[in-house]
Amino acid sequence: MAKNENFVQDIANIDEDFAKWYTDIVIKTELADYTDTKGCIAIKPYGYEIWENIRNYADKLFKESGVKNVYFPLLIPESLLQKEKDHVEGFAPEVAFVTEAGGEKLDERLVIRPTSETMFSVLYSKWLKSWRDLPMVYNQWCSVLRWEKETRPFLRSREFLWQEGHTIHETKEEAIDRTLKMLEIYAKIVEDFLAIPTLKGRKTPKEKFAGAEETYTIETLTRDGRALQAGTSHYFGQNFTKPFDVKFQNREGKEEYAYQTSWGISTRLIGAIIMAHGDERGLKLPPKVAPIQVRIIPIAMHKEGVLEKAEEIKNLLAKDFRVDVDARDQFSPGYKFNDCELKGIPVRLEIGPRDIENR
Amino acid sequence: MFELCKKRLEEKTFIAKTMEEFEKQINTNQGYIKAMWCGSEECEDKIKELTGAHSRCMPFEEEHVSDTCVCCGKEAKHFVVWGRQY
Ligand SMILES: [Zn+2]
Repeated sequence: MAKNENFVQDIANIDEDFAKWYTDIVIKTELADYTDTKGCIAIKPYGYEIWENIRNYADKLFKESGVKNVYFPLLIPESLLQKEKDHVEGFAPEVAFVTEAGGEKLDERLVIRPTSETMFSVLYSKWLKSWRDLPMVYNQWCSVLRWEKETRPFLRSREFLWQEGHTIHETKEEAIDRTLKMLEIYAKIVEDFLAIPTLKGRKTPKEKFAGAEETYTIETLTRDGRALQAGTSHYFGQNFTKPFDVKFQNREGKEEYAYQTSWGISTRLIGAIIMAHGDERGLKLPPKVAPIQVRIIPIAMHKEGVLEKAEEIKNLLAKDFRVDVDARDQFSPGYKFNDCELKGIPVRLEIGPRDIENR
Repeated sequence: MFELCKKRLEEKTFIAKTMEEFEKQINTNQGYIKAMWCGSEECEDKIKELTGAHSRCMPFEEEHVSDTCVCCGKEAKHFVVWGRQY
């Protein structure tokens, strides 16, 4: 028990070794863990629920703005990726391929999607006929794979969860409007939901997305003063729609190439939350995204009526909050306070025999 | 929580008019550096080489912190926020 009482001391000092503090938080609050697959993490329930909360909120905002969800293949024929020169050059170093399957070498290598502009473009070219079909505003929630050399849980994983929205439009103006609108939605998610201020702007040509005309970004600043890109939205013009032949009959009856956008946020946001709000005592979760918003800790919980009271209060609060009772009997209340602090649970309530008497 | 982050953001945002200022700020405080840029990739690369900072973005809310590029001293074209990144 003595060791357990020093639970919080088990994380590195945030001001002395921020990198170590970060991984300590990820592992010890059970957000995620390392796996046998190098560079790929297992997201555990506490981390996954944060992601679910972000995803549900984002998905609601997307749908309010006219986005439809789809699901497209994980594997993309290599020839598709080759069609847009800047795009393939930008992604080549990070791409993983499937070369063999069913015991045979494949005729054409298959790319494990690092992003899906190419797959969306080829399907849009198949489906798009007339200006009446536009806009197509599709999004998919999925995972992607990028063969990063150096990885860090949530911030840079080889496989990570994200959403990728891909849209095509009749006019340049409408596509640019969509690009900027998605950036606004991302800023709302990060500022209102995750309580992190953002810097909004346009990337320089060197830093923009491979194949994009313009990349817009929201940037956040971590506790240790580093920039962390939290979301990006790209305007492609006709860079993909021309090589992929995504064209339509316009209002004048002439053939025209569509204007395209794409935009994404990922589980990187969980890293952003940790790095923006965490402190020397542990993780600190913004209430809106916290899997547990209120934790009730019973004191002297084997005394008559204490656990019952704790459950009663839990049920009362459960109507409006995500709430639980820490009734683990192998731990002392002191340990539980520390654990609550470490996990960054926004509100802690203590219920003891005295609280019952005082009623 | 938002306000706390906002305060830190303000405390960790600096203006640099010369590379000396840029390097001094980023080496002592990290943070965002606001500086003017001529638009050339050479300067962007040189800044990265000297300071480890990437251009984060050309903010929608533009500011004018000097007339010349922080790196080469030529006429400034863009207001850029720089920083070391995760
Ligand atoms: Zn310059």
